[in-house]
Amino acid sequence: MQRGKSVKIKEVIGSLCKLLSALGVDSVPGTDTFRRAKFNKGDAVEDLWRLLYSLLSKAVLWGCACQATKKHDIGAQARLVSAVLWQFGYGAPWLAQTRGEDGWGEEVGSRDLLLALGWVISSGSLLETLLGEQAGGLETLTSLPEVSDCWPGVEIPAGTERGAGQCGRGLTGKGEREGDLRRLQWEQGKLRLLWRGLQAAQAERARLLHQVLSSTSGPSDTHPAAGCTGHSKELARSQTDIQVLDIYLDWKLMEPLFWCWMDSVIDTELAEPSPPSHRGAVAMALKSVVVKGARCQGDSGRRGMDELSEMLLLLQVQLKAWQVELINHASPSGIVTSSPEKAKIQERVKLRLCSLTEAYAPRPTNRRHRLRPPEHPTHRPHRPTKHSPSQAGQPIEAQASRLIKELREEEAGLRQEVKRLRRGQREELQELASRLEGVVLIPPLN
Amino acid sequence: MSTPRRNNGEGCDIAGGKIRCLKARAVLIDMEEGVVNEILQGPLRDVLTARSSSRRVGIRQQLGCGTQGVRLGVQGADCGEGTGSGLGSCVLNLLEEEFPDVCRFVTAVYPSAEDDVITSPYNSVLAMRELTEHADCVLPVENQSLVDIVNKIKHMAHTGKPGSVIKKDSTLISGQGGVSKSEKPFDAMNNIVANLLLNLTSSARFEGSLNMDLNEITMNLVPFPRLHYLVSSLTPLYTLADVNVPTRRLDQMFTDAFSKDHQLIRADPKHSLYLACALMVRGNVQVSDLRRNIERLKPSLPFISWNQEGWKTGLCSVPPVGHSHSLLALANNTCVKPTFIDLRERFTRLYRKKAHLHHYLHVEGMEQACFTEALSSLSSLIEEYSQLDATKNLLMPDAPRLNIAT
Amino acid sequence: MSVVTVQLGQCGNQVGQELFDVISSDTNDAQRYRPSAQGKTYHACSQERFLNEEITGELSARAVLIDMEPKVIAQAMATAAKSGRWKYGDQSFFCQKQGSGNNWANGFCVHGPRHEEAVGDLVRREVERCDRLAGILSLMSVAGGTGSGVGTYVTQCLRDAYPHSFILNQLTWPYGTGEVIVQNYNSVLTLSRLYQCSDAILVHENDAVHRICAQLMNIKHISFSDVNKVIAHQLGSVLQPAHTADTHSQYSRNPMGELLSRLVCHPEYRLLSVCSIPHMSSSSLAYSAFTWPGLLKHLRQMLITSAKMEEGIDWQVRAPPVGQGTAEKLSGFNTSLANLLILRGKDVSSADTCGFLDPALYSPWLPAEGAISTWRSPLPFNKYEKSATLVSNSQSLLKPLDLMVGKAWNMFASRAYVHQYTKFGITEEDFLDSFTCLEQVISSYRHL
Repeated sequence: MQRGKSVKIKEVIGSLCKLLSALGVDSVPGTDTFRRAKFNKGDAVEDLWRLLYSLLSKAVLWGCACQATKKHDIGAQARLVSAVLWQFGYGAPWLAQTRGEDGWGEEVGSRDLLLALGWVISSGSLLETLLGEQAGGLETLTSLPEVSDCWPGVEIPAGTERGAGQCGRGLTGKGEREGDLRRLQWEQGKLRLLWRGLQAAQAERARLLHQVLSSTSGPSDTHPAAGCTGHSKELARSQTDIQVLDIYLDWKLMEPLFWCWMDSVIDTELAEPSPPSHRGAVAMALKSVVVKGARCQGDSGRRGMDELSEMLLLLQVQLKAWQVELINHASPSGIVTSSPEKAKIQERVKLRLCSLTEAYAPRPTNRRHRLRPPEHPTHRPHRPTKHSPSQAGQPIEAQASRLIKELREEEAGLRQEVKRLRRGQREELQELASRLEGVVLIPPLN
Repeated sequence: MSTPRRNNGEGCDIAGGKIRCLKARAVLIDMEEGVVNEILQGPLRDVLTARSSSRRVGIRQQLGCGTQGVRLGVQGADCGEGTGSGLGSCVLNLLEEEFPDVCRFVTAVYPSAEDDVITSPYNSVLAMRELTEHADCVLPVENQSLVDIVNKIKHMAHTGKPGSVIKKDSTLISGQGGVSKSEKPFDAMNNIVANLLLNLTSSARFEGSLNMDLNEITMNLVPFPRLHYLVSSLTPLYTLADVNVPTRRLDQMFTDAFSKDHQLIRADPKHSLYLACALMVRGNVQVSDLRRNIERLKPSLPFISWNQEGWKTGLCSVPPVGHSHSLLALANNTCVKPTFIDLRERFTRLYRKKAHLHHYLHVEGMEQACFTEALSSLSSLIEEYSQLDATKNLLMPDAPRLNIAT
Repeated sequence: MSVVTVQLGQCGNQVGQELFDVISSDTNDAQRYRPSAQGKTYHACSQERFLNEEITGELSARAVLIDMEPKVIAQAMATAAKSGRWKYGDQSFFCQKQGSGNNWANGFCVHGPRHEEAVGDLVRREVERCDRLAGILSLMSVAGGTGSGVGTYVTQCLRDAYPHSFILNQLTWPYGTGEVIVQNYNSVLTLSRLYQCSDAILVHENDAVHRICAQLMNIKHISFSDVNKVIAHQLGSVLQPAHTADTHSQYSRNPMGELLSRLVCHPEYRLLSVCSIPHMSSSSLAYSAFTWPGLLKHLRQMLITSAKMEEGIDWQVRAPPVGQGTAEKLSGFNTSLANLLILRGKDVSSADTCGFLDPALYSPWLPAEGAISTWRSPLPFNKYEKSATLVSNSQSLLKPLDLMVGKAWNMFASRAYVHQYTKFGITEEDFLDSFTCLEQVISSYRHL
């Protein structure tokens, strides 16, 4: 049983790997890497960094300069990945910890990265978007102008009009209207015949062109297909498209199993005692996502709700902790401020944070758009927006930009606050120092 | 189609003008060997396979082994005698079952009034029922008409009118010695029927500018399924003259074909109602000749109201041996009715007294009901002809056309 | 740009053979007597239209021969080969051993479906040999079984196989009497179905052509070959290369499309008739001279009286004064919907066609400018120094069509011969549908 299951999982992950490499993602590791990452083995870390990097570089379009230079620098890649993850709101504690540091975070476990990967994959329709880009040729194929079909359609009204015309013959002004109608039908018929003539001319031109091409392609190209390399290219392209679609279908069949497995990864994460507060929260958050992804699970709805409320609780706890941290940061020299002031500040920060959480509360359904960096919204304008269903894209896009704006305002406000506090504290310090005899206070620069 | 079957294998040699390698697509059927043997010993012995003579063989084989082109059975049967009428109609049923697509033509020889077989009316009426139900086309021929024609030919030959020298090789009186004394009594009569069949199939055998296949005859001449008795007339019968016949003679040929003397039954089609008429011309005759003659004859011939232009024509460019041209006219005409009425009268005369009935009834499967059914079939046929005949001199209004609302 | 000809039945095969004969001899004459570039381009254009050049250098007709019996096809192929100028393709015929027996139902319901694939393959092979398919020309009669029955079925199949190609059916209408007794049934069934699937139906009446042979050509014993020659002459003068109004210096690349888009744009009006002038025996041709005004004057009168030949036309008939509306009151006047005038021969550019521009000739709803078009070719056609042909979509076929439907309807009223059709699956309903369709056509033309 167990054995069978593991084989199955291997297959599932295999299909994911196949899909990823079919979608053009480089450095996809073997299935074994995933298994080892589940148990937080250190040797899987590098592979996962690379995978995340290439996956995100496919999904997120940063400037080509950094992409080119950091091809083999794993450290740079890791930094970039964590920056992107951070930017798009992946709130795992290891991210918060590594952000400040300069290194690329060797201490990050492979399981963390695996979870991050899960988060990325579950972020909206990332795979579907990539698929759409990959098999873009399909769309051009299906959207061929269907001129031929519209002609028989034209004939139908002609027939009905005729009947109508004859009914109307007995009415007043019959001759005029009848004549006009017939004239119209005549002209319509004429256009139809002319169109057919043009079509024949077109066919002839194509045929002659083909003859010219095949005769000018030279004696070396004796192969009959030589004249139509365009065709063979097209053929090859559509074959790969079909292949990719096949792989994607395989993956779609396997996907629920994958998320089940991811569930188990989270479970192992949760089972481990180490830093419960942070990890737990993120893991729970992830888990909820996972649950959402794996819709086929039986009682996932209820379970998801439970977990969501649990997660909210944890998040509140975490927020409190962050508040404390923030205040600690705000008083760099470690001097304790007076209690009424402190309370006032705390109150204000709390308010801000509340509004901040509020801003985060309506979680966008399509998280892919949150993945987009706000700095380069028009880098490749024809990309995802073109292919993604526009009705979904528009409102979310607007929401994201508004969010960013709000966040910026928030940030500016907070910075001012910090500045003001610092100034106040500096004055206080100076006052204190002036009271002490023989002490000269040299205030820190800014 | 119906070209002679060529035997496979051996090379073809027509030694001394005689055809040795061709075999007729023919099945000879009789219940006594005398006649068949005679034929097989006769001049046709090279053409017929000996096997054909055995009694129950062969139709299937003959039709089956013919190439796919064979789609037709032309049958000769006489309606008076036992074997011809009885077995003939039985064979007809068999053919219909086996080859439903094949057009079944029957030349039925009707006995003359002073026939030597007393029961011939019985046989004829019984056979008539089968012919009406199962044949596609029947070409009735009366013995008496044939006798009359032969007598006239003989008369003319003896009086020796200038310009009407009967040529010895002409197909009409071919065989050994033409009208010479050694001729058997029925040879001349049979020859006429043979010529009828030759002309009937000529368009299928030779090329022409307006072909006429046998199935076209049924298609054009049989407007109602049961009324398929076609009166035939053949010209030239008497004048077997020069090859280069001037136009007047050609036109004469058309006139003759509609005269009473040239009909192969004793009837006068000109004074009865035509349902349809076919002209099968052989020889150097052009479409304009045909048209001119049709225009000329049409006013004198009463046609049924809905088929005023009921003419079907065929042009075959190869004339019969010894002639420059010939004409076979087939008419679906109500003039066959008197023959049938006559037949019915002779039948009822016998049947009223139940004379000779026991000869039939002791044959297994034969019941008295067969007689009454055959009689009613014949009566209803006569009735159908009468109904059409009644419209003859009436001016029938055109059927009101469909109206298109405008 | 090539025309693929499909010859169906005895009549179609005979007419087709004569048509190719006329075309090849005319084309050769053009090259022989006009060694200039003019003759050469005419020759090349005509050849591309109608003939394939085989690897052996022989010219074979772009044609498919179909009949249900072998005799006529064999004869046509032999005659063609004997001409030495052209031949039929060795593989481009299809025949069976037994005909359709004048029975439309037999051809349409039995032979047609049975041989659909073989015939389709033959036509496809010819079509694939063309750089550009200008159209398909079907030649058939409406009287018999094979031409009409199989022909109708084949045309339907061709329409399915080549939905955007031009399909022109040339029909030979039988003599009023004497050919086939059930010809009116066969004609009604054929016409009603062709009206749905063909682009245009070009009609030759045997009676009219026969009169031309008798009175103009002075032929004493008129054979079918003579009749077919006249039909072929008229067809050839329409189909041979000519300069259209749009292509002044070049021969049209799209003859069939040009023809149809000038004449049969309305789905209710698809019947075309042809008349041409002059017709005469080759012996008197040498002693005759014609002027363009004379020819066109005659031709115009032939048009408005719907006569098929110049002899015995009624000069009393005149076009009604403009503004009177419909021409119904004037008996004997033939209203046109659209006309195409084809002039060939010497000084063709000087010919003045304004007589055909009279709006009184045309239906009130289609202005004369759109209804008349002229093609010209400076080369003489088929040994005639000057000749003019008029293809007309007009009321001229109304009378024969009405007569034909009337006779068939009379016969149908007494149900005569219907059993011959039901035997093969054509029901009385089918008959009624066909009658309705043709009555509609008659009504449309009558109210032109």
